[in-house]
Amino acid sequence: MKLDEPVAENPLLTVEDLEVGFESFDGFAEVIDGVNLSIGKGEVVTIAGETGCGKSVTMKSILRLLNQPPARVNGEITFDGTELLSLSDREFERVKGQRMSLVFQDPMSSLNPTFTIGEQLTDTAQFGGDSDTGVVEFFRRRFSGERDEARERVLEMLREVQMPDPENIMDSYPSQLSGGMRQRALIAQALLNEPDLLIADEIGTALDVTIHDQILDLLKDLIENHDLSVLMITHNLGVARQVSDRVYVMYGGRIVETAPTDELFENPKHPYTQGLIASIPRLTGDEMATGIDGSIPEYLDPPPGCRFAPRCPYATAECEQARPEMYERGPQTGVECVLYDEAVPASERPTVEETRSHMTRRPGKQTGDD
Amino acid sequence: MTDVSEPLLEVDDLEKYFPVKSGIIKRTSDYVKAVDGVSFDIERGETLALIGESGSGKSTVARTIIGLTGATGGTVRFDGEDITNATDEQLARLRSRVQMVFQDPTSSLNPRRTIGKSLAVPLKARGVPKSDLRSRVVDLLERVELNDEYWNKYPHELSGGQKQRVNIARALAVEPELLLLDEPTSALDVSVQAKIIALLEDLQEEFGLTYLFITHDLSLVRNFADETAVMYLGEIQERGPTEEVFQRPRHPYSRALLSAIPVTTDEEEAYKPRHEPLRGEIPSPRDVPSGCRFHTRCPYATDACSADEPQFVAVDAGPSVRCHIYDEAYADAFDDVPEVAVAAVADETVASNTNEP
Repeated sequence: MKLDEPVAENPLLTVEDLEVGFESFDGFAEVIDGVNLSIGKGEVVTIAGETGCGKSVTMKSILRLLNQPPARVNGEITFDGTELLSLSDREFERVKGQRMSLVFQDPMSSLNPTFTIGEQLTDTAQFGGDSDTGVVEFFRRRFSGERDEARERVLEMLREVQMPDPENIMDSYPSQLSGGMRQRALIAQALLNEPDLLIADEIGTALDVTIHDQILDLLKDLIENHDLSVLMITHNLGVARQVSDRVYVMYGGRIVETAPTDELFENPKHPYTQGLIASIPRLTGDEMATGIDGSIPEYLDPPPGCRFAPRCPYATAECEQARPEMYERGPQTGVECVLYDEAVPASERPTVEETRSHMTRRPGKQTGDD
Repeated sequence: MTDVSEPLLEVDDLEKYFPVKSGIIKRTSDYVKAVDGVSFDIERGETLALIGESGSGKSTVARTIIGLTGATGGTVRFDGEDITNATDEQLARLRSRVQMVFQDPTSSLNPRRTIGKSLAVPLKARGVPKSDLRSRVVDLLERVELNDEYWNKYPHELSGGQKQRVNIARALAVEPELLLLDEPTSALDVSVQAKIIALLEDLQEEFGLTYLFITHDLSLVRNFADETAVMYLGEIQERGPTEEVFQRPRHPYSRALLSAIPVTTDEEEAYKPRHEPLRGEIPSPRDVPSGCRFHTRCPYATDACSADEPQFVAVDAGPSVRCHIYDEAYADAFDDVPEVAVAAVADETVASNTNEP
């Protein structure tokens, strides 16, 4: 089966057969290779995976942030009934500005250091999704009562994201704010134009644990109050578990597993997901796997079959030849691994424990190809 | 070697104040108290984990120990020898016994040198003859599970995990006894982090190394460290055997740190202390709060906390906690003693018998 439709019943965003490649001096790098995903209205969906697995490229191709060329984007991205890739830049700009928002990973570099928080956020409130208003309209909006109204709205939003002392913050420059406060300002900015879809790229990862925790709590409240649909991107499976309804696990530019959050963590199926979960250090002090051997595929010359095959402890010759199908294993659950074919008896499918023991065993000197 | 029972590293009341200069004549107007009275010992072959948020002074502790910055107070003794503000001669000797691995594997390798050359530098400094260099470097690479192909590679050709292995190899080149590991895995992905931790464990076993492991990731510490010290704003707030600190964290800050970790299983969720998000952010070390440094963010703070600075109190089984809640003199101030703490202490009396002697 193809796991594009069944996942969300009433999708706000669907991505079908997304393929993204980059032209480079060394050849053509096929990074994203047939990604299908969808986000339902009011659903919080996470893409999880390690560095270099294509999470950010997927996000950037949805938001058209990739320069073409060198990037080549193919596929179908539908947002609330509109096919995005065929829109002109200007039309797309309007959809993006008014209905989608992005919170970037790095709160330090995502704000303009030469404007105060108030100026930046008020501009977003007044001009978001409206990049070429013309000179007359610009001055009208900028120097009329509208500016004050917008300022009020910004203040309200800053209060909503629990920014301490918002009046003062409005007149501060980003460099005067701590990392946590900047992250709050960015979240406020993203929510100013009441987006339908919020894309959060590694939100809060650059912050300390206790501040990260505050930001996640805030995000959970905001998602509820604003009825947001969220696409989260994270490398931290703990965060994915805490915030999201459904998780896509990415490896080597493909989605290898998708499942509702509880199902994914209780019963991970793909050997990669299992290895990843087994490698996370445990608070309870349970033994931790010693990591997954090998490294992520070279995109210039990716493995022909399953891209995880060279690192997979269960790989067979079959895995190295053809890309496995996405097998459906229950509602909203799919695994791209031959072990989950109907024909394979359930007893042959690995459990997390087996995978852990495969990865904990240290046969003499291993290679350091991580 | 001196008496074996003596700790390898003793840090006593270490202080590092950075002067803040202002005005035209750059007069010292203030101090940033990065490290303010930190004491701990590490026994030979053991691991002490120093945990805390950024700005808590954990890296400064390591940098002061190895002499990258001078201490402004207190003493550091290594193998019985006082090495506080060591002389150049002392440092030269010291650095063949103490080495450091830094957080960012990329910026700590010279991008213009091949791995082989980078690894040869410490060997040359030790007087290894030129003819032996190559074989010694290959040995080192093998020790960190890399093959000899890496000899001719440049850092940009390596992944983050491989670069960190090279950094570890370089630290091992002088056959040190103590390794200061400053967040060695925080720039790496989990599956790679797991491999580096396994490598460090193997090396410790093989060479009897002693580690000071600095991290902000508490879940890593659980399996890895014998003792754990929790730092906040330049002070250690709780110190004790790792088991104790994790199973019954006493200081409200340790509890908040533990409860803030996003975990992946229900077991761990149940294991975490009750979720108590902290208010606000870590204050500036230039303007340290009066009394208990944590009182501005502590959910249980009372007037006594902002007035008097808490001293270390040893709670029955060993861990020392810097918190008035555990100080009998202040028992009256906390009529509303937090449940978790009560549960922890009650639990303690039952469990204290089962603790290792």
